[in-house]
Amino acid sequence: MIKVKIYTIMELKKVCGQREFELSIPEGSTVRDLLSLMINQWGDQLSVRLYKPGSDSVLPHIRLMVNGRSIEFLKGMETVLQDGDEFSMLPLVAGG
Amino acid sequence: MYSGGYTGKILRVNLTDQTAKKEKLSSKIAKDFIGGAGFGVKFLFDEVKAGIDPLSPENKLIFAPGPFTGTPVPCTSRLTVTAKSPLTNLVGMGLSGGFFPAELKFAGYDILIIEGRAEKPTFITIKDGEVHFRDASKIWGTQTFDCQQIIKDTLSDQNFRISCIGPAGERLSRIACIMNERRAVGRKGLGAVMGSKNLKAIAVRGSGSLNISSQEKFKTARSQMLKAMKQSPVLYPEFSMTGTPTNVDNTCALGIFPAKNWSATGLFTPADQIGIEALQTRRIGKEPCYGCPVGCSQLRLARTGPYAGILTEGPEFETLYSLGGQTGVDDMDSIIAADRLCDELGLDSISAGVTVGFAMELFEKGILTLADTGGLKLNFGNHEAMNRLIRLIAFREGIGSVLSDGVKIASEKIGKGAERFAMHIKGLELPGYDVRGAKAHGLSYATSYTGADHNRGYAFQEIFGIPVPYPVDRLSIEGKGKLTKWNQDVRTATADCPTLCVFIFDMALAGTSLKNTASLMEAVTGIAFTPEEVARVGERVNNLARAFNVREGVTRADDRFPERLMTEPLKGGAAKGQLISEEDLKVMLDEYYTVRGWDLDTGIPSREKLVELGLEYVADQLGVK
Ligand code: SF4
Repeated sequence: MIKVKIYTIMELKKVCGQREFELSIPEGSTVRDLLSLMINQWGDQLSVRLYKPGSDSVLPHIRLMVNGRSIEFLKGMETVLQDGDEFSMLPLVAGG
Repeated sequence: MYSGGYTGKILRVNLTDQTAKKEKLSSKIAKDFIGGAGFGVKFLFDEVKAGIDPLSPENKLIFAPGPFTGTPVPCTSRLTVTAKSPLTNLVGMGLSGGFFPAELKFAGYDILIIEGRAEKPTFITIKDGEVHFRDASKIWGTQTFDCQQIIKDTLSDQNFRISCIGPAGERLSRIACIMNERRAVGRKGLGAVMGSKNLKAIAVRGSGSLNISSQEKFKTARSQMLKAMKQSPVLYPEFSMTGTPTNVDNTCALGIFPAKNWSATGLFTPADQIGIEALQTRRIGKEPCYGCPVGCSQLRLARTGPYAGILTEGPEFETLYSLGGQTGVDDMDSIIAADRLCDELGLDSISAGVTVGFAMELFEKGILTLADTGGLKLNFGNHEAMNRLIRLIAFREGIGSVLSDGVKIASEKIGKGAERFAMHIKGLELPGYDVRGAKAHGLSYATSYTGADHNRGYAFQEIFGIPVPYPVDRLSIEGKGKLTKWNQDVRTATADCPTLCVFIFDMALAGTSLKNTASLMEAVTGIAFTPEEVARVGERVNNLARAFNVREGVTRADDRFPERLMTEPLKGGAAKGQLISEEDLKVMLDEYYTVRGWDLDTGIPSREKLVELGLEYVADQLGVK
């Protein structure tokens, strides 16, 4: 098993209960695997805030990152996670 | 010729000889520059000679709303104030909302130009066609909120809208702002320009209204805009209930919330203490700008300790950075108090906070001692010292006299290596994004015509992940020159010129903003625009502003970052290890100059580019071949 750090904000933080926490996942797990594991834990509350209704594509205003880089610039949902990686789930916020 | 939106009049007020003249706004200037930032830069370049002292009577203050201001286009009661900045000696521009911008239009003016210097403290009143110069000796010395109330009482009219300065502007602090109601024309020391003119306040009252060129086209264009706003995933209800502080949570997550004078970004991440959840416990209401259905501006009340009972509008994200992260302060109520204090005293809360954080680092490093600070223990996190120091800065007392002109001048006065800790670009203190982890945002700071300014080319692709015009990897330097040009030109043309609130641009209209502006321009003013022509206006304004700066001596060498950002990688958080090296900067600047059509060695716009933008006279003045 490897450990990854999860970082969430806004409504996703409310669902998960914490801003930052660790999860243990099997070695070789991808972002997709991690998300299914999290949805197993937090159920619909999490999936409706992450996915478009009735699909497994992520809502356009949710940014998923591994070590600070959006997964679309890595291998997307197939990005393989390493021990110690930080995985962030950031809904769009406003205002600068 | 325009047939709506514009009032058609420029009001030119000369404080030296106490005259007020009305001039006509030419339709060519309206088409070429739209309004707001465009008008500011155009009149500044044409009328303020190179090399003048920004605090001399030769400087001018140009107040410019846009053609949409005062019309039913939502979220457009905005104006720019432009002058030569005493902080940067370059184009100085601040933006603000509230009611003052719309009121100026109702009084009948597209532009208000203030010239000269009054012999003694003065305030002016503008009531439709009437302009009066009034003695301000009794209100000289008042803080900004009292000043506004006293003027309203004196005039026996509570409906005047007032822009004024506080004690900081009177003392010519180069980080002084102009306040209207609870809103600031914050940056670049424009409050000092007003103070140098002995002008305490401008009070405006208008009874006019604005024509709409084509009601039919307007109905369609406006409803398309409102639809886009409704479809935004964040404007309603979230942004309208929270305002900007959610960005503390976001930038902490991205590892780019700058901390402790940019030495601890990613390590000190006070999202739990001063992020949105904590702040909402202090929210008591809101105060929207004129004609805004969103109303992001929140009123918050400090509830604990010595600060209990202090009310502020905000604190906005930028203030939470400057008076929070930057100073290592995570006590929310002390930040509310410090924000209020900056507004009362008329200090730019960004520059003031960055200056306090700078002094704190110098104190921790032993460059400033207790003897220098008059016994103030300026350690990071000391919120009492922060509140005390803000007062000293505004009144130029004690250590405040050294710090009152911002970090660049202070570091030169202090010496002993203090320059290394002065976080500014071209003299303007850095805003709240550690750009080591957001490269295009950084390139925009380095190249913006006003110095380190988040408003000139905000890279919302990197900060918020909005994929317009395409998705962007915030940590890569690739393609950032082209993106920065897009961000600067499109934002200028569609937000800063017409003038539209930038939050609506970022959150609802970014993808359609050129089209939206073109249709609204045609409907409101009757001037036909294509989206390409709108973008051209943005490019024209950015080039003309660059030309102003070139005339003041700016070259490629000035387009750079403080050494810390180029040599010290981020020590923690989601952007750990990131910096913008000398080579990174070179690559990004080369690309940026190339797409801009500027000389690679000097950063000066080419004659070809200036001619293409209809700015041949500018090429002649600069002597570019
Ligand atoms: S969104 Fe906020 S800043 Fe923009 S116009 Fe509305 S209240 Fe003013």
